[in-house]
Amino acid sequence: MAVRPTEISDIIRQQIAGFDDTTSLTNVGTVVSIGDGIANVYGLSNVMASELVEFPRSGTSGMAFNLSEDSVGVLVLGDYRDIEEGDEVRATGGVASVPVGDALIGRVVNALGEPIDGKGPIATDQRRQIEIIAPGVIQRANVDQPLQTGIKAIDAMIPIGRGQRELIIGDRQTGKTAVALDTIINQRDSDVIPIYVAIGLKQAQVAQTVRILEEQGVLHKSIVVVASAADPATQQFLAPFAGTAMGEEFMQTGRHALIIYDDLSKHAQAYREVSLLTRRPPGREAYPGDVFYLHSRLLERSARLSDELGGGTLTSLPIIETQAGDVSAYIPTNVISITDGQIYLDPDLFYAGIRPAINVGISVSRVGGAAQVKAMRQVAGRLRLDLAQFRDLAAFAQFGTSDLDPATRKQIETGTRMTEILKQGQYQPMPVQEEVVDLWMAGNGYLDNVPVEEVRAFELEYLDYMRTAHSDLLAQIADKRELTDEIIEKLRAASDAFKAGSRWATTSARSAA
Amino acid sequence: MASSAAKRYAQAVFSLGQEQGTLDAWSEDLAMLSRIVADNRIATYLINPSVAAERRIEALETSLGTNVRPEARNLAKMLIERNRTMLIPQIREMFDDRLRQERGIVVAEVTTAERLTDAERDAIGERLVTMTGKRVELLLKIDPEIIGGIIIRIGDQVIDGSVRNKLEKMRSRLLAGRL
Repeated sequence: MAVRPTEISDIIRQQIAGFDDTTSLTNVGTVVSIGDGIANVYGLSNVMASELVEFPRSGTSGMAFNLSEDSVGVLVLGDYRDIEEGDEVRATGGVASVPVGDALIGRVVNALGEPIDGKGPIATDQRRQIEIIAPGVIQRANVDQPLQTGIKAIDAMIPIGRGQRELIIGDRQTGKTAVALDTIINQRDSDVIPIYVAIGLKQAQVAQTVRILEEQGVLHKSIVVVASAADPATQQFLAPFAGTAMGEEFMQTGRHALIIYDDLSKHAQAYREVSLLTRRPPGREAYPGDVFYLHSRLLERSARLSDELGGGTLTSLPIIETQAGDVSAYIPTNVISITDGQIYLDPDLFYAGIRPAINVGISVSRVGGAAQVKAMRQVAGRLRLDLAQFRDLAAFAQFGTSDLDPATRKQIETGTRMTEILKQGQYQPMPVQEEVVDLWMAGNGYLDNVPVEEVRAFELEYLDYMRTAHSDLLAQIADKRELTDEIIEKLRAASDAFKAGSRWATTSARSAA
Repeated sequence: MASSAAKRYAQAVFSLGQEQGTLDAWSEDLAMLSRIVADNRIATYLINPSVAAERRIEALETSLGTNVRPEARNLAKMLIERNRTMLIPQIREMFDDRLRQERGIVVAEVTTAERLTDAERDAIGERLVTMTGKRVELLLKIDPEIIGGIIIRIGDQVIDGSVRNKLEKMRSRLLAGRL
């Protein structure tokens, strides 16, 4: 859009004519020392904790972090190299906040809510404080709506409800981010707004993630908050709080948001860095004493609000990276105890080709069960039982099954087929009705005579068949969310017909003979 | 920036002065001491470790003569023994701050671009008295850089009514404005 110079002059004239500045009392201080993103300030006697302050000479802002008897430790939220010793610091009277609202959807922003995707300014006047007290007991309702991740193993056995906090934990390179991304991709057609907070990741990883979200067609309805490894520790420390504030705006207006913190291990390290630089005493693993409170106050803000307050939800999936599977390190135990369950990703399973490498034995969801779709509950019970029995016997299976009694052999064979069924490709989340049909088929003996290595092929053809020939049945399940006797009858008829017409029908005949 | 050690000394001197009713005398004595250490050569001599402490105390004694009271002399000796003589100006500053606080006086630093007339000064003083509810000592400063208007600073509180500040605000507002 072209703007004529006279118009610009007019606008400026209006602004100057309307310039009204009332002089008021401000609290000031002086920079005593500056370095590593922390400014030590003398003065600022009336400053509040986490109040925003300004450095007028360099135009940078900061946050009062450490209030001590005669100096204030300020976290500089920008480039601290412009600040010099002796600079004036002014208190603003306001607490740190970020822009929120619909204008942010589809954008990539930094920890201060400033756009970094080159798509122009964010047109919103709404702001929210980045640190607020979490909703109280009265304001909450029970978690009772499902959040579909589109991953069979999770939706069936570790169901997540809207408003829940479910930890994704595992070693490096075990697919933690992949689980989170699949969950975001699965919200493509749902009413959930995903927020992805990248903390301390490499810029290249973040760029790749953004590209994947764009390719999968979910970027336009998501928010990405980035504090990469190249950003100062102060921004990495603030990023999850900024992302949460953005999610809370949707929750408070009766909508649904999903926030991924990738990852909180790096967040704890950033917090350790700023704490040590402000000379707070180190505790276990040199983390400050309040690192538990840091994460608990952050994750407490995820909630399902009561219906009087609009019934909005904020679901969070924090990610924690463990070192060599050590879940008893400081930060992992902290976050495990804060969250409502964890999804444990096992490197051994990952290298054995079971992907997603979810260890269903030790993964739990403490509140999601009540939120699970009924149809899924009907098929998942059987699956859970089969897998539990299989785990007990799995050790025997390594020596071959020929010497075992028929009952045990059958359990092992069912178990291996179930394990096969739970494998799923990356970026291929499934709608809940397909998951249900798939697991129902597996739990009703249709795989019994299919060789283990052909289970995946069978599954794909079966789903293809159901999608094309019985889309009305799938639609019915999606609608009713329950497997009635009538639906089960239809399912059985359709599955029998598929199997009879498939290349596995003959194997079936041979084994029956 | 005040060191916490200076704060402790100032507090000790203040409570002693309060007890003995010699606050004003102390204020003068501390002013005298800080005038002496303001001389760089004397200041470096007083913390010179190659001269015995007794010799340094002796030297200070002779230069002070009978200008200060015995208590102030004791303070000076103690500070020499502990190598803390560089704290003297700070101790004096904090002592005076504390004294003003005790007597309900605040110091207002008033910066203007040009010299104020007596009438203007009185008007500002009166206004500040009603604002703070305390007796106000004006400390006048002239700084042509602020272009016009007035900046008043009382402790950490600043009222910035300078033309420079307004121009800066206008600048940032114009830059933030969306066309």
